[in-house]
Amino acid sequence: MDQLIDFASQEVPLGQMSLPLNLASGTEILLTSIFLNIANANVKVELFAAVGWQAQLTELPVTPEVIFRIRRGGFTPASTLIFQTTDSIFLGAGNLVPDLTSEVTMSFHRAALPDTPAIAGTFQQYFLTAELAGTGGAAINGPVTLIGRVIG
Amino acid sequence: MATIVDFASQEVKQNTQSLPLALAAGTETLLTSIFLNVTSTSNKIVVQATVGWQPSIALLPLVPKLTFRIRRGGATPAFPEVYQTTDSEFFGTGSLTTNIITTTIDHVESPPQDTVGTFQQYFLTVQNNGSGNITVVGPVTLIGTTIGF
Amino acid sequence: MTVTINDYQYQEVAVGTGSLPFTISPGTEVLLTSIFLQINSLNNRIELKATIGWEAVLNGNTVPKLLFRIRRGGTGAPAPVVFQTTDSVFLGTPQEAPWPALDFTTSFEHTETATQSLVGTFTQYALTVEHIGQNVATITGPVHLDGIVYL
Repeated sequence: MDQLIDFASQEVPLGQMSLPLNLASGTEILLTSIFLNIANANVKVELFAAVGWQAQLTELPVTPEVIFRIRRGGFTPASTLIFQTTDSIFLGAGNLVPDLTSEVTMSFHRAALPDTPAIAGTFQQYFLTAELAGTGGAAINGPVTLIGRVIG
Repeated sequence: MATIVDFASQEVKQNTQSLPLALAAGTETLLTSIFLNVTSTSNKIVVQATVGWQPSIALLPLVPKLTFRIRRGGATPAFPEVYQTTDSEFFGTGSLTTNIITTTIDHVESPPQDTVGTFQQYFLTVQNNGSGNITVVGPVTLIGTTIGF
Repeated sequence: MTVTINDYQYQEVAVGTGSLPFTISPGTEVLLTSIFLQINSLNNRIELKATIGWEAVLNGNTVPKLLFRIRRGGTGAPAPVVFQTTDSVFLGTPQEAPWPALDFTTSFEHTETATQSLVGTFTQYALTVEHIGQNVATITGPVHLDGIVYL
C-alpha cells in the first residue's frame, strides 16, 4: 500500500499574471514551479502539466514547435533536466490568409524515482519551462497547470 | 503528509451512450460530471479530463476549435467557470480524410469557503468555437481528486 | 473520509532509450509498455494515465493517425481493450513537402472499477499503438504509463 506523501500544484488561468507570454526562439522561459517533499530515495515523483498555447499566424507556411521541460533546482539549461517533450502544429499553405488563431492544448504525465538519492529528505523545486523551436512564432496563452505528487 | 479525501470518475467509451455527439456551433454542451467531497479550504481539488473529438471533412481550409470548460455547480454559463482552454488544428485545403484528436486537460483549484462541508458537482463541457463542424467521438474521461492536508 | 492508494506503478521510457525511437507503419499494433497493478477489492477504482511523444513528416497530403489502446490481461489481441483513443494531425498540402519532422505529444487518462474476476490478482495493463493513417509515424518518446489503485 502506498501513501500520498506530498501534493503540490500551481495554476495560472488564461490571460492572468504574465499570460499571454510570447516565446523567443532558442530561449527557455519559466512558466511556473512547485516544491515537493522528496521523503526518501524510493518515492515515486509524479508530475503532470497542461498548457494552452497558440501559434502565430503568418502568410508563410510555418511549423512552430514548443519544447516543454521539467527541471529540478533551477530553470536554466544548467539545471538538472527531469523531463522533456515537444508539441507542434502545422500552419497551412501560404496562399491562405485566414484571420484565424490556432490555440493548442498540450498535456503530459510523468513519473520516476528521484533522479538522485542525494536529494532524499529534502524539499526540491521543480520548474516547468517552454522554449520555441521550429519556424514561426508562438505564445503561451494559458492556462498553465503544474501538479506534483510524491507517492511512497 | 497529504491524504486523498475523495476520488471520483466518469468515463464514456466511444460509441456508447450519446457518443458520437455532433456539436452545434457556438453552444456549450455538457459531456459528463462528477461529485467531489470538499472538506476544507486547504483542500486542493484536482480535475483531469480526456476527450476524443473529430472535425468534419471539408474541402475549404478550416480551423476547427474546441473550447473545454470545467464549471462548478451547474453546466450552464450561469455557473462559475473554474477552468477553460481551447484545442484546435489547422485543417485545410482539400483534405478528404477524417482526423481525430485527443485532448487532455489538468486543472487544480482551492475550494471557496461556501463549498466546504458539501459535495460539489464538477461539469465538463465543450463548445465548438471555430470553423466547421465538430463531433465528440469519445472517449470522454473525467477524473476528480480531493487532496487533504 | 479518506481514499487510500492500494498500489501505484509506472513505466517510463525516456527519449532515445529502450527501443525508442522506432518507426511505425500502418496496420500493426505495437506494444509500448505495460504495468502490473494489484487489485484486492471489488471497491477498487483504477486510474491509468499515459503520455506519448511522436513525430511525423509532412509529405504530400497525409494524415498520420495513431490509435492508442489499453489492453488488460495481455499485451495484444485477444486481451480485452479497456480504453482506446485516436490522435492525429493534418499535415499539409501537396505543394509544401518535404518538411522537417513535426513532434506531437498525446496524453490521456482512463478509469475503471474492479470486477470480481480481477480481485486478488496482479493485473497487467498494456499500452499499445497502431498506425491507422497514412504514411509513417515515429514513436520518439517519451512513453509514460502509470496506474493507481484506489480504495
